Amino acid sequence: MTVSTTATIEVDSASGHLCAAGSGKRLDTVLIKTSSRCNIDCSYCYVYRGQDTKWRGLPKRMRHIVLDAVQHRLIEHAGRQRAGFAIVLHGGEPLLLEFGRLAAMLRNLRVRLCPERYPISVQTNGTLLNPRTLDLFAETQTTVSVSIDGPKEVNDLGRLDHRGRSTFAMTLRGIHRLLDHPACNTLFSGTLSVIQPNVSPASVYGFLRRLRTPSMDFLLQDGNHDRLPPGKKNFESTEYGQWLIKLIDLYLADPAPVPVRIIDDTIKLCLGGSSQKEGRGKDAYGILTIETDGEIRKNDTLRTSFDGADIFSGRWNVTSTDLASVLSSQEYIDSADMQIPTCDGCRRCQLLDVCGGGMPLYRWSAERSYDNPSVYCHDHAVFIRHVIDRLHGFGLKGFTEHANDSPNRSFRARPVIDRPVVSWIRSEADCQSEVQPNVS
Amino acid sequence: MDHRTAIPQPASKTDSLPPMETPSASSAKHPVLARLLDEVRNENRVEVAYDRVHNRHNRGR
Repeated sequence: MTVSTTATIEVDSASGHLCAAGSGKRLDTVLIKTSSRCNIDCSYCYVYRGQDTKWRGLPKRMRHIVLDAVQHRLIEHAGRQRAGFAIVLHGGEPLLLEFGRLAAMLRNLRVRLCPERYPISVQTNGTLLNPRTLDLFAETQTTVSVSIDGPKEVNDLGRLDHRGRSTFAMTLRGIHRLLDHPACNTLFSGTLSVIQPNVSPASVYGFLRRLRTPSMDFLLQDGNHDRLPPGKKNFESTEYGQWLIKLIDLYLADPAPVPVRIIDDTIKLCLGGSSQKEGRGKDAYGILTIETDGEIRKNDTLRTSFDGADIFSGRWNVTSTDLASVLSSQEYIDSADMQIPTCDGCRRCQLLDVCGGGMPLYRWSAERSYDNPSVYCHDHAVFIRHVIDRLHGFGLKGFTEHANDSPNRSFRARPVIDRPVVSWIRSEADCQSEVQPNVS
Repeated sequence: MDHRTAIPQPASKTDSLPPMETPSASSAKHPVLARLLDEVRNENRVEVAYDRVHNRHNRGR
């Protein structure tokens, strides 16, 4: 299907990304659903336990014709811009794709796309990791992130198989295979854990440290104003914020810490830097999802809001439509703009440039669509203020909350952090002469 | 409930930020803060591997 374009597509001179002219809405990540099914059945799964029902009609795995088209579109897009983008294999469980198809795709992509600009990663439950697959990932410089929520008793709260049995041992076996692989240092990118707010962060953090993961990240559970996240009493409650506060205190007290992404991003934003993930900070984020039938969709997390929330009206498919054409559509620009919160309270909030309004999926209500603060607003607030307090405790006093009295400002126009801590590290020599006594 | 007006606000606000302060020895030596300060410092000066990731994923470093 031909895309009805609304703007000329051009390479942004600053970023090197293809964007609709004047939009700045680039492509950051292409999420490839190599499988539309999963071999386990997590209680909180946003794909199979959420509002979406479209997955039932999708091919279980990507077919050759779609895999070929995906590779063609990725290579084609890379050839039209200077900047890179991330490629993520996802599902369902992406390793349900037959090994031969997986190997052919990864080898073809890696021959054409360098790992420095086009990182390829796999998000897996780890149960299907085996030496042959790991050798393939090492050969194609594909990194592996494994989903595990903590020690067995924590992991078993949500991550069970279709018969209600624990998946912990199988996941742990996969992680040990990763750790034992000769290329482990480049293969294993880290673990991803869904927060169970009723579980002690100490038990989870301690387990993951002992597991020797090279990095950790944590996800808030899915939810919105119509369906509160598990463990959250009401909009004003801060169960998740308190959990993150305990986590950062453990992290900062650890004499040999490994990076914890959700905390690192928040600290860097408070220091005037940028987040590396969507849903935090003031940067827009461009993502396209390719389903097993080749359909090009929006950010797949939107499907937690309502059935079909992630679908473009054009129902474009990689077999007939190039990615640049999708980027030039008003629908893509609008979907990328969704990161910018619209509600007045968010736009006036002094913490907006750190929390970024949270991910759009957390803002949803049937009554007001996405025109709400995040259902995690109070959690974000207590956590960010705790981060600021901790930074102050270390003598980093550049960030102070202040009113943002211009609700109509452009999201990118003026950072709330006018004089972030980072200003002193712009040039250490210059900064020494700029330093003034603290008058606060 | 209209959540649009229920965003938590701080006890006090200031219109301007205080002067910068040099990092204390503790922040410069802290393993997490030292690394993050270095990453922020180099964000716009060093061309690094593309590392923006989807929320469901963690590539690590």
